[in-house]
Amino acid sequence: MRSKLADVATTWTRPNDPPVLILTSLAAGNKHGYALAQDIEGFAGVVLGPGTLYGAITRLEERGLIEPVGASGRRRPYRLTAAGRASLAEALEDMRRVTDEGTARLRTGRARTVEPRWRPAGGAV
Amino acid sequence: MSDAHRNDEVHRLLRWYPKGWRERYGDELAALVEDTTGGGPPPPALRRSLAWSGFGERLRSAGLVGEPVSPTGMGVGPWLVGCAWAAFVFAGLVFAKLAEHWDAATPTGSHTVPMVSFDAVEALAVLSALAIVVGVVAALPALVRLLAAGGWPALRTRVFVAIGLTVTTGLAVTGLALWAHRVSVHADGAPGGYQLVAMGVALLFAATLAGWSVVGVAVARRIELSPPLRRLVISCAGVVTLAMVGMTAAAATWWGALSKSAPWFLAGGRPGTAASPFDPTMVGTAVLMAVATLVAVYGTVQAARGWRAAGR
Repeated sequence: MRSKLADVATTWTRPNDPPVLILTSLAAGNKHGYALAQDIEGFAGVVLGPGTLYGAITRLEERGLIEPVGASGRRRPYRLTAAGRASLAEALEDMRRVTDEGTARLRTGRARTVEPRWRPAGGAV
Repeated sequence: MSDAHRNDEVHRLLRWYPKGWRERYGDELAALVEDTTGGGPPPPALRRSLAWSGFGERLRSAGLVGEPVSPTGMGVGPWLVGCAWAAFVFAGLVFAKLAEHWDAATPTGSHTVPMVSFDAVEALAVLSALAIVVGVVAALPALVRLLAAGGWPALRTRVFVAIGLTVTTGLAVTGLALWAHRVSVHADGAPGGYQLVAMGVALLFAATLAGWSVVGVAVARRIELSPPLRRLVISCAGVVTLAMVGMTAAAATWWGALSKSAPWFLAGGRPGTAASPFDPTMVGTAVLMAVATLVAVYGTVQAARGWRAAGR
């Protein structure tokens, strides 16, 4: 059965989903809100507004994927947790499968024979 | 712009967010807004974005969107169904009033379809009321436990607001009823002032429903039910929702049948006269029924998702 963590990761299907962008940014070190927004705009060209950014931060912290560093403050940095790191790795792996498959299909014009990645809920994996 | 004025402006924007969220993230978001705007006034797009995000957080904190607030709690889905049902009852009362004596005003040969659909509305109304009673009785011990465990202070303000709205609405309805006895209805309807006040009373009624809905949601977020009771409450919500879908369809069928056979009845005219079947009150009633049904469907889906998330 797929883990809860995997279920969380697979809800992010696009590389420009705010949670993926935030986790990716934090993978290179702790950052506060403004630094996150700047970094994300730099590496992904995506401008996350303050409302969107903090909405995603709220959700990620609720799920235990990121956590604040140090005492409360106006520019408090966040860092990836171990669960966040694993979740990001799973999300990126899922994206990589799609990328590889798409690239192969573009090159050969047909589908590759691959192990099915997705199973119906409750099915054995 | 002075620093104090700018801070006030940012903190005004943060009021879109729920209190608990503001306490946790408010200062950080304010700092981010200041950094983003370089100390200048927030541009309109940023204001809209914050308002939208804050409203979303409010819905989320109320458990109305997003993941269930607590995987072991009852969740707000069944309560949403209850609120939608209350609004539906209001629409149903108006429908019953509008449909009064419909059989006497329509040709005898055109009775079958409206008769069957009207009877279906009545039967489903009884079924939905029974399901509501069973659901409430099932949840009642959990509410008593919540109150006994000191849950009252968290509910107090909401309950008092709802009671205040109920009393105000009751007084307004009484006043309106007394006025109604004195109003002489002419061929072109009741006086404009009366209609305006009646509309105000309807709004008060809606506010009362909303007030109790808020209480219901607050309770639903706090009580815990055993898995069998939770299953029972969610099943009741499903039954109520199906009944509402059925009632909406049956009322629409009744309306459609009378539109063909006796449109004058819907318009309040004399038998045999040409009339539009789209009486504003009937249209409003149908819209309210449809909206309430959609909310109930949404509530049932939320309840089912909560059940699934709990791994039952």
